[in-house]
Amino acid sequence: MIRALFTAATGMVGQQLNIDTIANNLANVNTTGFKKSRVNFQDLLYETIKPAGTENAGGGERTPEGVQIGHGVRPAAIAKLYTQGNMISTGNALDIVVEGDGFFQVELPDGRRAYSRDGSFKVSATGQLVTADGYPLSPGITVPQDSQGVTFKPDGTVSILDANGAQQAAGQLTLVRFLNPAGLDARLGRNLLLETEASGAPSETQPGVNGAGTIEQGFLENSNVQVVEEILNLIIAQRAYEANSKVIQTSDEMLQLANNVRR
Amino acid sequence: MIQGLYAAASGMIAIEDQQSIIANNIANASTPGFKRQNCVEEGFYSVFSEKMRSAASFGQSTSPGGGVRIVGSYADWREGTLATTDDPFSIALTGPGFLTVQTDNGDRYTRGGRLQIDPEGHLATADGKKVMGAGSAPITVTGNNFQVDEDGNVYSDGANVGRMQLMEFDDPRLLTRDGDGLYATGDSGPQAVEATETSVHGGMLELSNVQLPYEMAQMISGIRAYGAYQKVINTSDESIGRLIDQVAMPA
Repeated sequence: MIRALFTAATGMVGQQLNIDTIANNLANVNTTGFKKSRVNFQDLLYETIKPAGTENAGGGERTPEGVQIGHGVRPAAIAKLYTQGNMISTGNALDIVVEGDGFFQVELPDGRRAYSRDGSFKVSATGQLVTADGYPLSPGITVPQDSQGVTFKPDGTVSILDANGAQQAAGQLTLVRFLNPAGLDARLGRNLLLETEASGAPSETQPGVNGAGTIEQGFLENSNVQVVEEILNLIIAQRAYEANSKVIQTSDEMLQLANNVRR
Repeated sequence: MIQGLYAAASGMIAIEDQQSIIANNIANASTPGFKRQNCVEEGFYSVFSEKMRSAASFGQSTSPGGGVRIVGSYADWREGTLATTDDPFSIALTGPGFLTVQTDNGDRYTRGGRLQIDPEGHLATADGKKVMGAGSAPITVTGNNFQVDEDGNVYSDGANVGRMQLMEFDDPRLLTRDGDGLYATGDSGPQAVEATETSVHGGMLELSNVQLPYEMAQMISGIRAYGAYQKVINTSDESIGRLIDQVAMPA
């Protein structure tokens, strides 16, 4: 059978994955703290029909070129790009943003830690700072019922204004950094990421130290998706998909011609 | 007549290989750093007509050919378009050089693409193969603010943490393709020398140098040739059939 048929199929599958990734990026264009993903393609293995540098039939001369036929493309990785998203001023005291590489730590119901760039926190019924899904921030910060305001300093110290109008310390927010954030696992969704072998272990620091970034209150980090860029990639992916489908069509016609050799 | 039949069949087989190469080019139209392949076809003569051709009395022979075959596939080393990305770990090379990466089978060479930091803190390709620094040691990056300069020096938090080992080849045509964007020198391969004409650009990506219209045109001319060969086979078949049916018909 014609190799081209299967080669083009790998191209179509690859572009489909590319479009899936672009679709997810676009769907999350307004998701707080969302980081866009990119598919990294690599060529598949090659079949060497004749190695380069073999002696030619006539004698000692070496042929400068061999014959190698490739088998298409494979997605090597889908990696998130951890560039800073735009800051949006919300005026909400419980919206905080990390200006740098750090992640907030969130405690999952099963005791595991998850990491997030989404700083839209809320106060739970028990006064704890929690994510929109109700997962508590870690280390925990409690806001008393009668407090009149919360202040986050750039270095992560949290203070509250108590009922008498006096400032009181309410805890210290810490951030974690990863050597390779692209290796974090996004399977949970909900703006949460999990540590993996590839990401390396989290290193916990105070905001503003070791490049973890500082805390800014009253802002949210929007996604780093750029619509124009995604649409451009969508156009390219669609055209590449189309071109691969033409290869399949051509291979099919060739097989038909081959079948017609015997009438 | 029979020879024409085999010549046409060899043509169909050659076109199938040629179409496979085009299909691979198209499938890799969005693979960063991919270099499209061309193939060389060559007519050949049967051993018998080769002998006749070499006999001085025949001079330039017009004896029928044996067919066509693919004798070589070669990379089109033209540079792909450079695209800016907002990812500092994207690397594009300009000039004839390659990055050196470590694999289980020895050193391999690649035209860059997206890099990352592996769990041990080494600079690596997207699929985790370590990028070699000068002296064939991996480059360890621990800080933030990853940057590269034109000479391939890697900076982290402003400090130089190593230099990527960039290689050029005396005859890149002899490189073999290993898949995963990698090239190997093989047994009789070219000599790798320290790059002098290559520069590195961070935050850029060298796109595939495949141009779809060109591949499409090649593919169309391929399928038309394939159809023509098929007609040759049909015609030969018909002629032989007529010979058998009519000329050799018993009275």
